[in-house]
Amino acid sequence: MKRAAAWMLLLASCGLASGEGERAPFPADGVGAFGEASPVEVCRGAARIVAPALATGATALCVPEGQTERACGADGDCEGIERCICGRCVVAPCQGAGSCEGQEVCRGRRCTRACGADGDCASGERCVSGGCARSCASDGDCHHGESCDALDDVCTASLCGGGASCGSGNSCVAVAEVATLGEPALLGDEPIAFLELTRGAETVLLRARIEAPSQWRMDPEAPVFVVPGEERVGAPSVLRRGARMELYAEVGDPARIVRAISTDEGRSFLVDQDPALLAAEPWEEGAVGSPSVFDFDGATYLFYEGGRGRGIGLCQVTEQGCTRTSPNPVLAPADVEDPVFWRGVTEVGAPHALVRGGIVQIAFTARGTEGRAAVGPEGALPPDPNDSIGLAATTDLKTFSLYPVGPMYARLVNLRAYLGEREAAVRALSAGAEMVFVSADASGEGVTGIYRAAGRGAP
Amino acid sequence: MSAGRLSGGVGLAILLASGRAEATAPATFGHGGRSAALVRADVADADPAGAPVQNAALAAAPGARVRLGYGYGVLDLRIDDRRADVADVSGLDLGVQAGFRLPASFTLGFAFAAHVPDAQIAKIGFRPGTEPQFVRYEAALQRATFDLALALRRGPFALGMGAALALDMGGEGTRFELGQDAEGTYADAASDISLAYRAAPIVGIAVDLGRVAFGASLRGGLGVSVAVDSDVRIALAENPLNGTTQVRVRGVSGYDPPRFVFGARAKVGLGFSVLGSIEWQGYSDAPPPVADVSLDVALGTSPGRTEVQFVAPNFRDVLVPRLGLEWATGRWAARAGYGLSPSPVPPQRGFTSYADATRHAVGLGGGVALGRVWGVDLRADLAAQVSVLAERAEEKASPALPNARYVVSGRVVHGALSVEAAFR
Repeated sequence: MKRAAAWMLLLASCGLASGEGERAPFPADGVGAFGEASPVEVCRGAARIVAPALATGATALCVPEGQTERACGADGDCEGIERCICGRCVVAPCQGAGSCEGQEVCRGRRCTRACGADGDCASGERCVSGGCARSCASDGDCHHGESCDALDDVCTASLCGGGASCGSGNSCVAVAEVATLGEPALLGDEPIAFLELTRGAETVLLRARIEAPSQWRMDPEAPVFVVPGEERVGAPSVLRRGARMELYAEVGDPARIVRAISTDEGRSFLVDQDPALLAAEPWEEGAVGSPSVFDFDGATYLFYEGGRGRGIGLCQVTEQGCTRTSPNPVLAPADVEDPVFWRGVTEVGAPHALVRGGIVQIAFTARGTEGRAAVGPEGALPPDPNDSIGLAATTDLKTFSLYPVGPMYARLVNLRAYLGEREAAVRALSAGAEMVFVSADASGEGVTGIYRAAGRGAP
Repeated sequence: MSAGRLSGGVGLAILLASGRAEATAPATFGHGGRSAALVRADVADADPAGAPVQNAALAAAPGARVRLGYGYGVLDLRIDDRRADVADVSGLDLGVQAGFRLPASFTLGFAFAAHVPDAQIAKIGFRPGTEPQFVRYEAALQRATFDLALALRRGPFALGMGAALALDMGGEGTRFELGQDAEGTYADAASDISLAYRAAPIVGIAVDLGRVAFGASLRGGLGVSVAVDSDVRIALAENPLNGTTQVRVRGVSGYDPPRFVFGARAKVGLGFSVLGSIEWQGYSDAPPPVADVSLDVALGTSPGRTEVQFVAPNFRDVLVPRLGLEWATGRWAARAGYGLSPSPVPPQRGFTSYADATRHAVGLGGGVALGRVWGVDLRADLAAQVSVLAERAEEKASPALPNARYVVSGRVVHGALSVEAAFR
């Protein structure tokens, strides 16, 4: 038996390999399996686009001339209280209590660490009026966006813009632009997006370069498609045709759909067909918008929203315009209504088509109530109606199947409060699908910006 | 709108977690170089050191044997021609057998066979239920197996019994408490995990009539039951979300189905033997390869959904025919085998996206007696097995379901080398 044991030891000493690492998931195909959403930073020039609901009134900083600007990709690349805003490190301007995040307070017109004494601050800083500030002898001792206050010898920030200007030796640098972003559209698997920007009564259509999954930069900074005399040009949907791009957009009020062509990679578009589609059916209630164009089975089609959330229609694109495949909507609120998973659906619209393997998937927005009531100390807490992302699919453009368990994507916070998600665009990259959408509160009034949710496997 | 909507009931069973099932590495590729080359067609004439895996009755052979082997399999499994991230299979195969002659022409033998993966004793994990997953080639191939057999032979007849062992994962789970006392905030954590034994019966019979031999084996189903609990309690002053959160996860990972196999071996002359078997694999009795999750939140507010259960997979029983050919002289041996393993996975029509297809396996191998070293007879066996998954297309009932259309295909290349020392 000793010999047997010796042989076992000898043979057992070979062949052991290293352990197995984590396995990558199979990429999501755009039908559910989206993870937690995070905001997309959309920049125009040096300014981050901030939704009105999140605006603090602090949009620009006086920056001492000659102060060195440092490039960054994330907050971690910056020093002290600097934040990475649109690719550069700068202090976060603020105005009023509650305009800073986390444990920071608004002191000296920028967000900084709260303190009660000098000892609460980092080395080289003092506690001034409850906020940490660097001691300084000159502007060069301060964070980017601060200047040295000669009276206190501490760094502080000055706001400008909106009529306020900086003194000599300083330049006013925009850090935030208050506007509402909407209707994001992704161009195939290219790092290009189109979206609309609304400020006041005006809505313009912009092109963005996707620098990172959650960082978009307007390129160019000016609108890429303007229709003279129209205040509203938005809801873009773009197809690439070789070197050309074909844009379908919602124009005017009441809305119609217009086609435009670009030969410079989407940096400018010229009207090609106006209108491509006008409201004509009763259910469209005089307006058609939110186009989503796609190629399928050798032809080009376009989903659109009729009226204000009255439903989704389908037409085939021809040189004469877009010809409806049916006078009725292919998807209406009554179709989406489900007694268990999606109740009280009142609006359906904002379609986005994704063609994969002979299947046309339509991500759409519907307003209704999903989920069950939560239970709190005072009893049942029924969910509020909210916008959510639904999914329908078809293989023949005649029969449409719905994702069978209500919304494909919906967010819930604090165990009971639903948020709003609308105007989604989905694309299936090789690593996994991703979705961008407009984030809002349940009422839909408090828009918080463009958000991105990565599907399983996507970065 | 003309809409085809799935029944709402399907949705109640939606996702979160599903596991993997089905067949351990020895059951898939064979235990030892000879069995692997014959694609496990050797139930009537298996090596005594591999008896607990193939046929417990064959442990009743006089003498003692120790066999150590190593196998490595590369799994190139594809969905829509995209390689799925299924881990390769590798590990040691150990077989030990001893038999003693008893009065009245009886022989008593016992044997122990184990497969020990390189990376871990067992890999337990649950993918999201809607994510495509190769149910026969994931968790089960990554867990260790331990089989014991005791057998008695008299003349041509032998009877063996034994058990296949696995571990269940249970215990009270983890507990975390965040609270406050006179000295401030404190955190307290505890963990209680138990790995309990679980066994499935093994029964085998063998009849060796010289030129012809017959064998049959019955094994019970066995998997790794997982019961993971997590209790979190938060009690902080003026915190509106004080309370408890309890999460319970239950599932079975790495399930190996019950099997009954019957086979024969015939010596046809010139050193050639033909081996064949037919195996029933009882997948329909398998527990759902899923993790059920229940959530009990009492943090001032409780969410509406507290439980997630997945639909039963409705796997089906399958019959696996195998055929082997062996040529052996006193020193050399050459072998070939073929096995056809139908898929137990039914057409995928709902949320699940199990991936599997009929597997054609071809084995080739040889053996050589290395002579006597230190008084021990040594023998080495080598095998290569190539399996092809016949292309299989799935189309779900609704195009609005995850992975509504996909095609499964793949190849598996497995190599095995074993060395046996026989003590007479």
